[in-house]
Formats: sequence, C-alpha cells, structure tokens
Amino acid sequence: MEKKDIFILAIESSCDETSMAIVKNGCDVIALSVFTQIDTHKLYGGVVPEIASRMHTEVITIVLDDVLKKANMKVEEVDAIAVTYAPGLIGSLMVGIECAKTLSLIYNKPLIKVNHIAGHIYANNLTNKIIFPTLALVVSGGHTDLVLMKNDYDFEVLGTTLDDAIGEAYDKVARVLGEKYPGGPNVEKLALKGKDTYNLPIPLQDDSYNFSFSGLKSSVINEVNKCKMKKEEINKENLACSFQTSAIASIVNKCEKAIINLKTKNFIIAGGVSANKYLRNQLINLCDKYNVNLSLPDFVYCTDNAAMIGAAAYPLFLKSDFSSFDDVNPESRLPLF
Amino acid sequence: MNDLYIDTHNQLLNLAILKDKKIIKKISLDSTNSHSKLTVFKIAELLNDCKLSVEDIKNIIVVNGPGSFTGIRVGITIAKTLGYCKNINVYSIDYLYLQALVINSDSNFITSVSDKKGYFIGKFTKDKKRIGDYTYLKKEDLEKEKEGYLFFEEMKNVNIESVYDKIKRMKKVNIHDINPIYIKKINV
Repeated sequence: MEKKDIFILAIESSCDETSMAIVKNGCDVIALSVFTQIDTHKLYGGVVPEIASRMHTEVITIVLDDVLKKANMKVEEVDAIAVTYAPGLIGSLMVGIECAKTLSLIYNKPLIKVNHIAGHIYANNLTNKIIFPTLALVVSGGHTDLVLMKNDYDFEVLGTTLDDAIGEAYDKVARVLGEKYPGGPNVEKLALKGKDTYNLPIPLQDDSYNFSFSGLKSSVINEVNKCKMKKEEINKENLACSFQTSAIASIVNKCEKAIINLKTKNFIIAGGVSANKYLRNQLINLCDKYNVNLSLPDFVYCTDNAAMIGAAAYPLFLKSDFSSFDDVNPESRLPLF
Repeated sequence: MNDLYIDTHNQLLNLAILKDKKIIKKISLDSTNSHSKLTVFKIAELLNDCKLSVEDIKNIIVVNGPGSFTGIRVGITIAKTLGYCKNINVYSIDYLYLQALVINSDSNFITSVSDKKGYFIGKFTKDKKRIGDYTYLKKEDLEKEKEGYLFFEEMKNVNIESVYDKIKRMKKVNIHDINPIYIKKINV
C-alpha cells in the first residue's frame, strides 16, 4: 500500500516574524508565508517585545489567509497543526499558540508543540534529509552548541558556550562599531570588505568542545578604545573581519576536533548564524578535508520561519506526540537539550 | 442560532453560549495568568457541555479591552481565528462601553477597568454617548477626574443578554481589522 502523505500546518511567532507554512512529509514546503516586523523594530535598535506581541495579533489571520491561498489548500486537508511554544518572547509565542489551538479545535486536528531550536535543526530536512548519526552545530543569537544526534530528537550535547552565544557576540560587536540593528548581518557585511589585520586571539583553545566569545568581544572593545585614546579613526572593516576570523576559527576548530574524535560522517548546521557565508565556507572546507557529508539549510530556512517548525513536527507526528489544549503554553526559556 | 461570548480582559475568564439571545451556559472563573492555558480549553468544554460544535456558532461577541495586555490578545486571537475560518461574525466591543450600555444613570458618568496601578476610564453622557478619548489614570489622579461625573467601579461581569440587541446593531468590520484597544502607551 502506498504511504499516505502527511501535511502539517505550522505556525511560528516566537520573536519578530509571524510565519505559517504547510509542509508535506516533513521535507516538502508546499507554501510558506512570513510577515516580518524587522522594519518596525529597526527604528528602536532591537526587538521591542510589546510591539512584537501587538503586531502578531494584527496579522495572524492575514498570514493564515496568505499561506492557505499560496498552498491552494484548506485547513480541513492537513493532518495536524504544529506551533512553536518555546523558547521565545512569551507575548509573541502566545499569539501563534492561541491560533494553533483554535485551529485544532475548529478542525479537530492533532496539536503538536515544537521547540524553536528543534525547528532550526530540522530546517535541514527541507534541503537535504538528515542522515544519522550526525554532528549538529547550532549557532544563533541564543545558542552556540555542538550536538551529536544519533536519531530523531536524540541530542547529546558535546559542548556549549560558556558565556555569550555567537549571534549575541556579533550583535554586541555591531553596537561597539556603531552598526544598526540587525547587527550580526551588518558585521558580516563589513568583514567582507576588510582584512584580518588586528590578529585577535582565538578563544578557548582547549580540549573541550565548549565555546567562549565574551573575551573576544572585549578585545574588540579594547581596540576601539585604544583608537579613541589615540584619536585615530578605527578601521571598522578590518576590525569586523578580525573579529569574524577569530570567532569562526574557534567554532571550526572545535568542529574539527569532534569530527576527528567521533569519526562522524555527517554534519549539519542550524540557527540564524548558519546564514553567515564565511562560516558556511569554512565548514565546507572542513568537511571536504575529512570527507564528511555537510548539509547546509537554504538561506530562506536559516532565519525564523514556520516551514522548519513543520519539518520538526513531522517526527513527532509519526510518534503521535500530540498535546491537549491546556498543555501547550508559551515558555521563554526552555532548553531543548 | 448560537452565539459565543468571550471576555478575557481581566483576571476573570468569562465565556458564555447564547441561544436566541439567552445564555444557555456560561463559565466564569478566576484565571489569573492562565488565559492562554485555559481559554480554548474551556471553550471546547463549553461547546461540549451544550452538545454543540463550532459549526453551530453564528456570532462571536468578544471584549477587545482595555485591561490585561495578554488577556485581551488571547481573546482577540481566538475570535479572529474562529471568525476567519468559519466565516463567523465577530462583534468586538470594549469593556468601558459595554458597562456603559448596562448602566442607567440620570447624569454623566464614568465607567472603569482597574489594574494594579490605576484605572482605564471612559466618560459618557447619560445617553451613553462617549465624551472624549478613553484614558489611563494612576490611582492618585482619579479623584480629580471624577468631578461632575457619577463614578462606577469595574463590574465583574456584564449581563450580555440585556445588551445583545445593541451589540448586534454595531457596524460590522473586516475580520483582519479586529484588534485589541490598548490605551496605554508603549514604553520603549
């Protein structure tokens, strides 16, 4: 008998993007709708939670309408409703959750709660199917984790950041260099135009798989202060490039160590910083060197989107890991592993 | 023909199912910080108790504020989703006006919604016409505003049956345009 296709309607509203998607079998994106609030938050230099919560409420049915029209489907035709419930901004998460619960009530469809970070990991399935066992590097504004996955939802954390996450470090450096929100991508753009002239130290060159970026961030601040004292103009491009070179080198070194020690043949990356081209290129070189199969999610699935939530919900659907209406509640911090 | 009433603007969760303008079942419970957890759950329970399904709901009356920032967005999000999906008419009404509708006063009056630090207030003529904009006042500033008006503390519940016809006469708005009213300014 031919296997029945599974369609999941997924909702993501954990930060400043209201997004919905319909995903087939956890890997084919039938339709994706993303309403981003970035232009509004730019005015304030960062995401303002109260504004984000309001805007999600304003557009929630518009995004629903958009995704159904793009897919040319009705909610009746999907097999389950999936929603991000953590981690994120409570007021923002809540809007997606209420919509998902209501859809589940109306259409009598199972409700699946998905961790946002699992979403970033499973975004890989939208590009290349994840092959287990695999190493997973999760890099975002809140995460810098090196994880061994032997199976679906089986996470063994090898290392994590001891202080700032990599995305956080990029944002802080952006602020020091006077760059506007969103800082990370702007630092990357600057770095592209510069050279590694400052030779900043590569952090945490030890035997662990852990990371640390606050010292490197301090080095950047020191360089800026030195210039100020000497009344010299700072070379922003070169300093951004020097920061990026050292930060990414420390990540790639730890990945190399894990590839050698664990002899893993598969490698995936996840999270907002996985859109960083320099990081992607360094990982391509690394994986080529050790003949490791590297999966890079498409750029569109690196930032927050609901398609990745649909992908991450699929293994849960297969396990019938469903939730009741009173069991899906927003949580601001909830580690996946 | 059934209607669903949703009020999540304060710590109480007030839900009701109406049939032919009469409440046939209602829920009123203290749900402090639990609107997100309980509202859809309790709507499902209410429908089930009345042996109704979402298909049987023809109109929704939802309180759009002012009050709990989270609470009103829970109620509005649920109402909008139901309204969009099932083509249900959604009447959104603010709690200051809703109270004004049930008040009989022979002079100008003020209705209120209170929170920890102060009051949202609405001023009305005895004919229930709004005077000026709604405002939010700190507790200590209330006395001055009361002058010349009869002041009404926030009602725990409004008898929706008694104002049903008035609500149904309200102008219909596009479902996507239904939003909470906030009154308080955002602190950035």
